[in-house]
Amino acid sequence: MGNVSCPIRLQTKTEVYMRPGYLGDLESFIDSSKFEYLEPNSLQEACSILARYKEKARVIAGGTELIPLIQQGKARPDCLINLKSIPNLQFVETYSDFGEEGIKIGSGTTLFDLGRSAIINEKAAVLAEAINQREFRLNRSRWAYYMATIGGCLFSPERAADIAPALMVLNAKAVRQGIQGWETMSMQDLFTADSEGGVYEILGEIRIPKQQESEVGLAYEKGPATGDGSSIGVAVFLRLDLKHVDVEEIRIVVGGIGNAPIESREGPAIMTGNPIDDHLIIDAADMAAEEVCGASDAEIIEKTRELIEEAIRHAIDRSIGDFALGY
Amino acid sequence: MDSTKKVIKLKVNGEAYEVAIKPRMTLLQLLRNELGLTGTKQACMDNSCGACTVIVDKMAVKSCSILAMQVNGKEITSVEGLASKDGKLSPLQESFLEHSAFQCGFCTPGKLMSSTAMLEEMPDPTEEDVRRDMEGNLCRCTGYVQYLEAIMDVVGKRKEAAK
Repeated sequence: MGNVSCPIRLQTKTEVYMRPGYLGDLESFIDSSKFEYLEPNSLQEACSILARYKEKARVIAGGTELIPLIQQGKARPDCLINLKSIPNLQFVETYSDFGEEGIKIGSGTTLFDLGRSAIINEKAAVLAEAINQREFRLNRSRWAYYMATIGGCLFSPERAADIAPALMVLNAKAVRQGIQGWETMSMQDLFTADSEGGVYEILGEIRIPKQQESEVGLAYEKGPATGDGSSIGVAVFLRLDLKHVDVEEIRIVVGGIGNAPIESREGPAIMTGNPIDDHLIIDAADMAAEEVCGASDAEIIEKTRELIEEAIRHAIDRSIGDFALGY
Repeated sequence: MDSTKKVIKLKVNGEAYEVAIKPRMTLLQLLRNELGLTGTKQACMDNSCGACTVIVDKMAVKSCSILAMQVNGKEITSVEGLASKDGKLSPLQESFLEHSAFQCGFCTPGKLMSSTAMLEEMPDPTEEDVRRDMEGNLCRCTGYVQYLEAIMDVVGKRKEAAK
């Protein structure tokens, strides 16, 4: 009796109450998520496959973002291209070519490896800071970092809030492989280019130019999500003059507001060339928050303002180093 | 063989397997439906609850959120592989029992796998480290205090043994 009635109850419950994800084991659901699975041997081969399938193909590396969406029926690709099969996409190395030095990161490098990389922690600590503060909205365990890759991260809905602002203040460049060859672009352009259709290129590596050894403060702050929105991340680059009085250069990048990170112009404009002052920091944070948040509600503007102010103060402390006065 | 199937080789709990699977199959489905290892639990299916956690090459992963194809050639440990072949429980399993760190037990396999991987990588974690690392494993009946006590007890005993 139990054997007969149970499936019927399950069927009824499934249709009425359960979310699509719960259907994961049912053949009907599995059949609805058919796709061809391909493992290219090179980025160029992956680009050719992308060009062939166009928008019907999706690329995965760790798969932490896309596989749950496929499970839930929210993504239905005809073809899944696994970039993990491509050799030499996982690396963190220093480089020195054409007179430029820095760090290069393979797009298949996991956040787990990046967060623990001695090179990243020593030469681009703000990126490690961003990774370590990163929270997956649904999976807050750092074990998620074991599968998640930096490349996938930059193309996920939460990309703007997390890794991208830190990369932007580090002046990182994205190197993309297409069928015709390589292309290097700024992180900002990477997001814009991505929204233009018809270009089948894949992120191969990220290059972070060598940072100045002293007088520079880099800071990353992150706030929790408000309501259903993404969490907000703020990265700040700040350079003081040799006397640690005037701000020579400051950059403020905010992620989590809109689809791509936004760099503030107005905040830095009032700080550059002026001596550090408590009111100046508050005014700059106010202006930058109003500028990047646009028509967002008051709660988001206030949260953004607080994060910007905190990040500026941390950046000042770091640029002054041992002489920090607690700005 | 179904032409859409692909063959993968992997090691699960020390046993070598060669399995023909459909590419859309997740690691969770492979373990439960193909290999009969039902200790790994299916719950949220969206990477949020941690009940399906297994260890892949010494790192904890959510098996609902990766394809079986992605673990081709890798070594997997599920909860069935924690105890030794003669049935002796692992120190964490023993400690979970001692501290009654479960009620319905549904989330326990995932918690055991996450904490096993954590102690493998970080032999001497602080309470804060444990809290942070276990954030991805949800429990809806026991709460989280007993888990923390059970894990910290193992850490303490290891320290004692090392003296």
